[in-house]
Amino acid sequence: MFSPYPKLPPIRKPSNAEAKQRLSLTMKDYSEHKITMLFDSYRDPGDDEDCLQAEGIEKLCMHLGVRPEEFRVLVLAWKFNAETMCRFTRSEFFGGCKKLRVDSIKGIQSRFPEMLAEVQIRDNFKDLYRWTFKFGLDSDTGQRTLPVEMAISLWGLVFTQNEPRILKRWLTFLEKHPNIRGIPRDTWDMFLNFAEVVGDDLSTYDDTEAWPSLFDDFVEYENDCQNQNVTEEKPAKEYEVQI
Amino acid sequence: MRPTVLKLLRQEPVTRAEWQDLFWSVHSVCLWDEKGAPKVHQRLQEDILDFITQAQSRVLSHEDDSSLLKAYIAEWGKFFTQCNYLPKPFGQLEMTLQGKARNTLPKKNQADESIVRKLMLDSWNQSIFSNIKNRLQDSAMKLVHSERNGEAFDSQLVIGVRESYVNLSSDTEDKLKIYRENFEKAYLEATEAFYKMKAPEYLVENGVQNYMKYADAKLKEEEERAKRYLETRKDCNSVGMLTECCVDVLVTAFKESILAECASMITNNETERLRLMFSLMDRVPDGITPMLHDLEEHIVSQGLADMLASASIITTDSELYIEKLLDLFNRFSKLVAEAFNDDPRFLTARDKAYKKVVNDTSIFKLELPYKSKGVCAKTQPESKCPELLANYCDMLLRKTPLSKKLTSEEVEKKLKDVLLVLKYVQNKDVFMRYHKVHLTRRLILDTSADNEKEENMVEWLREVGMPADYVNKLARMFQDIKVSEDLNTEFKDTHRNNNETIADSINIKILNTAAWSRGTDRVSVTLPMELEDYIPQVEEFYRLKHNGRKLQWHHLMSNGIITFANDIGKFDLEVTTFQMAVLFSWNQRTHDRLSYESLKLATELPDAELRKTLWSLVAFPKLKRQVLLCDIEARSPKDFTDNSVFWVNQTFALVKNSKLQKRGKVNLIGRLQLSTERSKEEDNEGIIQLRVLRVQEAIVKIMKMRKRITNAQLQTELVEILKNMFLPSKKMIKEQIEWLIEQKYMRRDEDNINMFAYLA
Repeated sequence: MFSPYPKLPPIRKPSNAEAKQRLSLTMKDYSEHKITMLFDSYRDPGDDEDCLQAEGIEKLCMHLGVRPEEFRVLVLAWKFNAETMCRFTRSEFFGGCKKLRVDSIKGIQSRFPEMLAEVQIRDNFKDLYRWTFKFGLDSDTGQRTLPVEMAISLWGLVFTQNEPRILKRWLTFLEKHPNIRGIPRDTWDMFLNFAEVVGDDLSTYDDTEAWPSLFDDFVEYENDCQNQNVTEEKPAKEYEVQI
Repeated sequence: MRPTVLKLLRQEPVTRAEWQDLFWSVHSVCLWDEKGAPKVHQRLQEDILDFITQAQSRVLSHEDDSSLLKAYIAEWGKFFTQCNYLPKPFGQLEMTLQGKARNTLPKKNQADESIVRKLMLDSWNQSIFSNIKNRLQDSAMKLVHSERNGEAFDSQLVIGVRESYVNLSSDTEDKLKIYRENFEKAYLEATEAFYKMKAPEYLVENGVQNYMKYADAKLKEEEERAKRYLETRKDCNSVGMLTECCVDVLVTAFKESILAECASMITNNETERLRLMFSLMDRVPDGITPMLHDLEEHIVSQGLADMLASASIITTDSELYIEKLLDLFNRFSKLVAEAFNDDPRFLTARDKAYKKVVNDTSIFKLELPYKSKGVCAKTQPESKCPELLANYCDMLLRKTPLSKKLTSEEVEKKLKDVLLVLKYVQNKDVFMRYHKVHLTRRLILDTSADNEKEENMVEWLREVGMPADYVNKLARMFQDIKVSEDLNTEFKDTHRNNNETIADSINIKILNTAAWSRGTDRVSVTLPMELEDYIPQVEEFYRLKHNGRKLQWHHLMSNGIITFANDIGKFDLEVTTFQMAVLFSWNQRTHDRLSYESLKLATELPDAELRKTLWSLVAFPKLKRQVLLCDIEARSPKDFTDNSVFWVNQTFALVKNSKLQKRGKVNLIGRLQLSTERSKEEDNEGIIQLRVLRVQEAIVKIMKMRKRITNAQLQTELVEILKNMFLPSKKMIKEQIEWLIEQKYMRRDEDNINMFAYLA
């Protein structure tokens, strides 16, 4: 995909930011007070916890002009290093804004193109991708594996900018096999490698390598479908029998 | 000097004076005339050349090959002898020529290094030899050729030529140079050319079978010939090279056509020919590999075909099945012994193929439910062999018609056979489980045919590498039975004084849960009062002996004998505790009709167990007259309803030769049920669960030791650790690795997905 800032080197940024930070000691381009105000304006005052809940975030998104289920929100959450979904703690929000050097809705909005370009870079994307897994876990219940429905939507979301060619088939496979309960971290992480290695040609897949077993199942299923020329409905029926 | 030299060359008689004069003359020339030595040397050379030229013309005057050779050998013989004499008088000459440096050095092997000798040999080599060597060689080879064609001739001629080649070398570094470059080369070439022409002809005319004999014979023949005609001294590898050359032209060239016959020869059990083929192919690089492949294929297809042919019998009869397997094994082993001389490579091929036959799942299989988290709920079928092996083993160890028929030695032999087959079984854990179930039955019902053999078997299982914890549990089971015997005697002694008659007939077995455990298989049942009363007594008795141990009653496994009396007679019935409980419901009301529902209340047995128990009393297969009767014509235990009514058969009796018996004993236990209906499914699941644990355990063990390991290496080591129990499926391994990663026992390497690291 075309990236507006293809050659932005990640290394230069911190030093840049540092320079700016030093500069900002004298002439701040954002104000900590304003950030606090901004945060408080979205926080439900009746809430015991010092964080933005679903409602607040929804409002924030609305003002930012994005839908909450959009990729940009995911990247923003990643930038803010949010622990879990539907929640921004004060420190996350504060730290995030400072990092972006913004203190207003407009300011955040203006950073979006930059952020999107940033995750075009392979290593940054990998970081975002891996972070997404933990972001999706329900920390209240101490989840360790990602429920499959959540995984499917997160996979769809995280690959918004560059979708691997295998993704659609993979998600279809998951949808058709409801007995797959959850996606462990290792499987999540490995999917990125898997997508890179196979492209859309599953014949290059080598099941003697240490791929998570779910990929074996996937490839086997895909091959079965192709060999028997199974129509779309048939496997669906099969799984009904399996239940 | 000259006349004497010439005389010497011609081998004419030389007088002592002439001989001594020659020494003197050489000496004086060399001392007095500074240029004398080179002059003498040159003159000598001229004379030698002159002589050789004459000799050459003498040799070449013979047209015929054989006389040419003869002449040459004769001339050479003479010349070579002179090579030893002629140099002697020229000692002074050599010293002068070589300069003074030589004087101080000790003279070693003078004869070999002598300049004059070298001069003579070189001259011979340059003139006569170079001129006629082709003819010489050709002649010699022609002779060999005609010998190959079966004509007799004087082998000394060829040998003579060879010797001249060998000795002709004046090169001290490599004495065989001339021989190798000429004679040996020519010999090899001639041999190769000969067979290149002959071998294909023979093959076409006589077929592969005969050709193999031909090739084998020729190889031996040529080796013999080579030993005669080629130089055989230690540092000379002519014979080896020739053999190699013959193998190339006789065998390697026709490898494909010979090997093409292999499969059919194996099928037809042509051991003689196979042996021949083996000996030929063993000389060819990679010649054996296709044969191994053919053997393997044969064993697998033959084995499976045999199994399939008698599938209807062997699937139901474990004895026949095992005997069939053994028969196959013996047949294949015999083939390997006779045709391939028990060559280790062929034995390995046999083992590999036999393993496939044993673990085959196409004829019948064992379905183990593997509840995987993954997609396909496909179970992986496994061979039923271990189950049948265990059954067979039980037939040998239990009191059965089979074990009674056989002598002790025969039983032992067959048990060893079981172990032999077991070696090839991949899912040994299935065998272990079934074997233990059978053993449990034998021990509880006391139906072992021979206690010594039972215990031997345990040791043999240990010897073939069954896991120690498993074998130890078996040993513990025997121990428990023995300890229980003593315990019973004591218990009876204490109670005998109290004049309790029933106490005498009670037999308690105290069994260690860890060794015998059959899951959570305890079923509650209302025991007959007579027995119920003893439970606290036994518990008290045991508590006094071993304080702190917990006793649990496994009524499912217990059994007893009750006396049943009716109008016809008195009968001893061997029954399970459940059957006993059901029958005792009538104890105070012999003629009553009891509904299913009231029996359920009376016995408190779970539905499935009550049905099964009633069924065993209403429809015991071996009885003509059943103990209980029922108001409905039930075909299976499922047909009973709550309203079904049962009553005691007052005309029950044993029937022998269609006569009613008044007394008698009958066993209604049949095959002692060790598990409830529910736990039967769990049983097979249990095998899998245990495997999962074993795999996890083994992975952790390996990781702990290796710290970092590649996926492939991990798989290999895992199979090595687990092979005495089962072959872990790839899927199972992967899933357990995933589980362990999830539980943070290990992790995947950041950069290499095929590398794992241990997390302490």
